[in-house]
Amino acid sequence: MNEVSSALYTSISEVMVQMAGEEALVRSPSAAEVATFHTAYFAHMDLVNEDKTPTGKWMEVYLNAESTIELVNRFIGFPDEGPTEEDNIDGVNELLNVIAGGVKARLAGTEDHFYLTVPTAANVSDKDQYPTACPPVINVIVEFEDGKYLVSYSI
Amino acid sequence: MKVLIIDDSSVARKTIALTVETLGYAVIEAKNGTEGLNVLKEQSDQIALIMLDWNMPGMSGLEVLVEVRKDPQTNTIPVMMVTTEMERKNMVEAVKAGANHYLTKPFTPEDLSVRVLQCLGVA
Repeated sequence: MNEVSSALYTSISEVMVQMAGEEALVRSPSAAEVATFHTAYFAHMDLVNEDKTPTGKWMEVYLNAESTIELVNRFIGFPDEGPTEEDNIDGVNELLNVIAGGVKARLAGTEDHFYLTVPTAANVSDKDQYPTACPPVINVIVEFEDGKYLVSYSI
Repeated sequence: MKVLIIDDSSVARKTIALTVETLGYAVIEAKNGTEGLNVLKEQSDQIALIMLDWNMPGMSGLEVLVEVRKDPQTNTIPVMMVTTEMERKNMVEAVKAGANHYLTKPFTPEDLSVRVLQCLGVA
């Protein structure tokens, strides 16, 4: 496991325990799994250098609708009316922001270190939006099945 | 007394508010630095603590913090930076600019409760 992969793994694990209140199974998916994952919500963040110039890399998270609602509900304490659409989009943004922040901190002092930009999230349910498995993208896919989180990442 | 949460993320604001309200404090939410500074202009005497995100569109949290510390009406209000920026140099930068406490995301509700109570001098 290289430094980026290790930082990503650790950051995802920490975020899921502390923000979602549950340990997640974190793993690298096969290319076939990535290619068939149907996204409802995703968020994108460009990774930049200290002087704000592009590194040419970016990070994205992908979730289906059920996983998004479950995750955001956990973030905001299960309100009676459930999360709003704004909450869902914002929650996916926040998830990416916190994971990326954890990776950034863990890569301090290495040649892979980067700086964060403000993430952008969207509901893409009406489109076929699949994660791309090619570098320089860092992808994180979050699924919630049978009461457990499964988080897959590829870099 | 109230806690002012300045964060562009509505989910982050709701998450923090949930814990702060269980501690018995009312919350005012602002979705960016400008809105937060406007709240402070009108209600600075009611604000016991400012919880400030770092990475926001428009004014960054650090820029908001500098403005808060410049204004005699607000310069004694405790400020807690709540951010994903967990590198030591960021913490030093925030403290130099006048932050009293620094909490990095992700955090548990218990972490947040302890920090808020410490900031308010009740723990």
